[in-house]
Amino acid sequence: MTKRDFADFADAPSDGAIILRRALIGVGGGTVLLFMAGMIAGYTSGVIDRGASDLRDAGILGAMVLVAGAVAFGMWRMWPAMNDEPVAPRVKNARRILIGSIALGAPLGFVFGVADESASEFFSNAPVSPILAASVIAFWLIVGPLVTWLWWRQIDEHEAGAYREGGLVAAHTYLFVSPAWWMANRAGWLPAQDPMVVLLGVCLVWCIVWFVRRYF
Amino acid sequence: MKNRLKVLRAERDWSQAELATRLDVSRQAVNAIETGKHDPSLPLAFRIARLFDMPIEEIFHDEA
Repeated sequence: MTKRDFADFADAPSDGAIILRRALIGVGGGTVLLFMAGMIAGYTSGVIDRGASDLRDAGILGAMVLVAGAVAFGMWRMWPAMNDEPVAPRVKNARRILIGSIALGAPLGFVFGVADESASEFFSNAPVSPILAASVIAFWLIVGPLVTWLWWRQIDEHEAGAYREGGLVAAHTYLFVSPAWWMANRAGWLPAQDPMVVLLGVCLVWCIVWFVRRYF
Repeated sequence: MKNRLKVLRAERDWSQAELATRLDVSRQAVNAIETGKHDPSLPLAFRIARLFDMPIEEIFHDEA
């Protein structure tokens, strides 16, 4: 290895541009993929409900799968690579846990979407079947905390600090926003609180603070 | 808290990623320590001191 000039060390390599490009591709492509997965699940449910499928259904489903595949391939091709740097074992483990949880959760979500006819209303407050509810609750209460605990054991103290700070800001967001919304609802200014909207908002704040503290 | 991590790393011709691997932390953690955005815990500060074979106070300086 050649001796590096001190200038190489003067400024820390910035991941900002790469991370932002990844975020744009991930959010944009991910949204399209989610939309396509929902369309495929919905159409498949419809075909199963009808009890008979024909060549037209197969063609439409095939086309949707092809579009989803093309989007996924495009994301993979455009995905900007970080420098080829060594990575600490605990960082590798934390990444594996995150990737594993996504790889496990995404197909399960798809299976739930196809398997239960009430699942087309999954992201609403409509009633769902007891089997679907029990499966999702068990997954969320057992697998969720277990994976989170495994991930927490692997991350380094800097990321743990970013995660804690994100949690603190998110908790305070909930502390201040939720009662204000409740009072505004009682005054007739806002509709009643939807707990899942509140949860998503809290999680979004948590993620933003974690991301900023970790990468900027 | 100020520190000499970047200089010590440069003297050994290590990248941030190489130092991070030796300390078993992420490269972002090393970057945050070098830029003063994150003060390491005592256990990590001791690991850094052992790695560079120096007392902690020769690496980290109180700004006061």
